[in-house]
Amino acid sequence: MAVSMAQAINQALADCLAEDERVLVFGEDVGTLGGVFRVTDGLAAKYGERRCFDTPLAESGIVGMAVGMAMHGMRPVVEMQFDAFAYPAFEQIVSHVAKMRNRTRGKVSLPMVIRVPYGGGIGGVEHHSDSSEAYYAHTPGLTVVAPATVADAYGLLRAAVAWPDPVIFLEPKRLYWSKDEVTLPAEVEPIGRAAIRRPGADATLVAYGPSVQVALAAAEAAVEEGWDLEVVDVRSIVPLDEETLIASVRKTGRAVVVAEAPGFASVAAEIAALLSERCFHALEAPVRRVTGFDIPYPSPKLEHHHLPDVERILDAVATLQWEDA
Amino acid sequence: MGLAFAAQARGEDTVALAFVGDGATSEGDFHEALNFAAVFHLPVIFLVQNNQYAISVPVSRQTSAPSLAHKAIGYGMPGVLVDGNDAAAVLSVVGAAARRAHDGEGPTLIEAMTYRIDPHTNADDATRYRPDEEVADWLARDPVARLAAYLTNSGQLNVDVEAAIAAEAEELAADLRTRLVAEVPPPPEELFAHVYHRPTPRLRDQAALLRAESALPRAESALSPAESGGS
Repeated sequence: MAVSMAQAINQALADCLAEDERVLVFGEDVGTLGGVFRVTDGLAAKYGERRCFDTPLAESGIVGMAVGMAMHGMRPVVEMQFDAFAYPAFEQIVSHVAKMRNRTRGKVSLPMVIRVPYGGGIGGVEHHSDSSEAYYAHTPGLTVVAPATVADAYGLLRAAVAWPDPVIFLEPKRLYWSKDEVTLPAEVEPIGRAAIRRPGADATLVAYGPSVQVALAAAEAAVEEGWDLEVVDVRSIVPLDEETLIASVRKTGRAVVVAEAPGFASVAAEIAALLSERCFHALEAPVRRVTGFDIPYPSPKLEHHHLPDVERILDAVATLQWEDA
Repeated sequence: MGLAFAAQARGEDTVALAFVGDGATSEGDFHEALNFAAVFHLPVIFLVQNNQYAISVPVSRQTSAPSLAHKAIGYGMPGVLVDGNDAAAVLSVVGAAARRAHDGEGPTLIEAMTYRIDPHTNADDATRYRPDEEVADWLARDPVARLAAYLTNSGQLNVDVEAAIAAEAEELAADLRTRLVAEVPPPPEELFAHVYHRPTPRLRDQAALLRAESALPRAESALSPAESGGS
């Protein structure tokens, strides 16, 4: 059955609410309205306003309340509505959510999920299109997950709610309406494992979230150029499945990391550094990055210039010193 | 609030007027700003446009206080509740607050009661969270119609002037629509403008990359990764 990513996330939340009384879903507009992307549609009606509800408009308050709830045995799942709307909650996330386990020497953990619709490509303006993953990935204590497929949106969210540490769950909002043939409930996917989306022999494209579809399209287009590209979906940014990434690049000898976020000091930069360090003797060419520019997210009429696309990925692949192969 | 501090420090006769929605009064920054303004006796007016909804969430879910104007009490400034659809009343209240600020008596919080007639955005479906009768009730309190009635009854407006104003407004709106539709996309180099006072070497490299790409013919499919759909 064709299921959208929004439906898969909705179903994952519904199943978590049904199976575990400790699960609470809340945030701005998630109750009566069902979320601005309709991801929580019907949950308040079905599970009641005690389990799925609207809060005052205060992201710091939302996350702060989740901290207290998680400390006292609940499993809060909160929504930040848009990537950049989460910034007022940064103090809570960095100083409390991320550090509570460490601060208490393991006595207090905070199992909670912070859902963040993220990334661009929807014609959104400032505050509505950021790729904010690096802020979270840079903060020790946070688990950071980004699904790229409908099945993973379900499976990784279920795993995130069951995870013993706080999870930043990055939902690629431009894929909310993308559909796959999926039977729900899909498999619960383990956090910390990458997936080979397309096997290939000549070079590896590493991507996550919204960039996986672009990488797959580039791999298809590359066939015409005579390149057989492997596509690895990172899925879990923290913890990072180094083993799968390294094995792929040691096999192909070439790598391009693709991500929407500005490339400077980014997750893509970290992955490129890892591959350079750990695959050095297998590499036929320097590891390349195709990322967003180092600019504030641009206006809708210019965003297609900013986002990595098939051409830009193929341009990078073309520089991987094929003449020396 | 910072602007008011600067104006005061520079000896200017300036009053800052800050606009806030009802939803924003729940954010911590709102409370910090009110507290600072009161502590430093700054010439600021905080004007809350209470249009009853933050997207779908009603004011009753934002506060348990009798009004948003009540929040002023805790910060030591006057809080004033006014009918925001009554232009004369708003003018009077804001004027009084401006005189207070000008006289060095510090900030004022004003809550202007009004209503968001349309959905939050063109992607919003307001029927999910409010009844049509509520909207109809507020439509009857149209601030423009009320101002027109007041001005007409006091002999300051007649049908001819009103028609001329309406025609001018319609012309303005039509012109805006035409220009919006006709607007040409900004040049791609705009991406790199105004990020820093001058572009970093990295930004100059990225601008050069984009220029080189733009000089080449590009495949149609490559321009729209968003349309590539699910896996």
